[in-house]
Amino acid sequence: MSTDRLRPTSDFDRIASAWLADGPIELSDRVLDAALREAHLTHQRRRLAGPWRTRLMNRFSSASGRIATALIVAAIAIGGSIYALSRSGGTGGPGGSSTPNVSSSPGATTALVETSPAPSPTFIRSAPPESIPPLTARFTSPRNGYAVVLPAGWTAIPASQAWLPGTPNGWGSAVNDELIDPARQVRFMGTSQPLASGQSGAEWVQAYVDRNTPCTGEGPTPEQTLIGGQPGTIDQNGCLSAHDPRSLGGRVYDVVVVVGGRGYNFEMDGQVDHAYLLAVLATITFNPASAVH
Amino acid sequence: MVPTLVERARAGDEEAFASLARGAGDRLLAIAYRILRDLGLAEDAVQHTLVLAWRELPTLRDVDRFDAWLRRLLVHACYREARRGRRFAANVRVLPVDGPSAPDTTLSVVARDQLERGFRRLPPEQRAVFVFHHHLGLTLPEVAEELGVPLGTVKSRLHYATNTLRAALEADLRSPIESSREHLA
Repeated sequence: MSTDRLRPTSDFDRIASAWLADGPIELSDRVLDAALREAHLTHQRRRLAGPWRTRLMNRFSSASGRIATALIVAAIAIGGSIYALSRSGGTGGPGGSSTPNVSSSPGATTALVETSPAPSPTFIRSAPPESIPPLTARFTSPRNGYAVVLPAGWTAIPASQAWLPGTPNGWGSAVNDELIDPARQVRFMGTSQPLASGQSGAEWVQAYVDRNTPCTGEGPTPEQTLIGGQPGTIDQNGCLSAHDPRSLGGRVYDVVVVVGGRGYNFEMDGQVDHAYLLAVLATITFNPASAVH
Repeated sequence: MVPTLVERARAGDEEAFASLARGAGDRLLAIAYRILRDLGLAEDAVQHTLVLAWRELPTLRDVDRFDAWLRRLLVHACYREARRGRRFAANVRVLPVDGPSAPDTTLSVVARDQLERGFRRLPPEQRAVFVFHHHLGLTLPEVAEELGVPLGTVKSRLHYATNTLRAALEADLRSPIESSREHLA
């Protein structure tokens, strides 16, 4: 090797490429066989939501669909407002506006409405955990840069504050979008925050996992999974939540993912299991650019 | 042929998936090893990737993107192994540093050792970008698309990785006399 300093780019690229050329060339049969054995024991995640989602998207893609949906939303909003006023004597209160257009009213309590035909929102109390209800109602976070599809009839309380780096976001925090089923048996929470300057996605995930309370759940922890097509991490995987006074009971799942420079945290608790969680996570779509800073 | 296999595997055909795994295994190991610099960790990352790929295949919408999708899963598996293992420092392979040994056709032993040490200091995200660009030969926009991160992030990661490795190499290339002069000055 010459004692001359490296010339820009070309020398370095050549050296780097030559150095990287060395390495193993063949995956051992042992590893391949182990992977195939494990795959054989692993159920594929079916696209449970495929048909209804397609209908939903088609419906929203047409102008008439949007108008029809807007009319439904407006009717429910007006009706809800009249109902709320009659209950509260017009002084406002925790009920707030009940417009399903949650994007326009962060902090308000809203009801999710069906966005595809003929689903039967019969879920909750008596259903076995593995029974996944039809996921038919889309919630678009007004400030956290994502959307999720949940069963119709759930109540949404959109976040009203930003989730600042290094701060907690437990159940009930105003930084979370919280959505709950009518029987208060299952709950979903979502929030997000920008990564700190110079922080990588993996660093953000690790910092979050390190802060979170470890627990023993029904599945491996951490578990890698896809969230709306993005690789994410389940860091609490079906933990029993009986000791948390804010919990619904049942199990807790906590998930993190980084998309477009934002760290997202989603949780589900209550009468929910792993399959239900994955079905909901598969419906999530990200739009980090729409997040409110 | 591959799209057919992918479609069959996506529909639950285990034999088709086994064929895909055999075809992709070597390529995945090559990438994982170059990111992790540890054969054991790389094999774990590949195994995890293949299992995850099987489980998630039904969610893959564009079968033509199978290879890129698989590589992205692999990179995240590598991140996981890197965080889990944290064995980089312990696994540094110290090579003889008595000075340049027998002429190497491309790279001296000392330079390799310096690159190895420098590379192990990089976070896995920077390693991945470096490997995708310099080993796979992808352009930076292609790297950004494959890894699912903004182009600016890719540029930044490559910049830091390159600077770190260049510094490691240049430290090696300075002669003792030159180093002394720098100190005196």
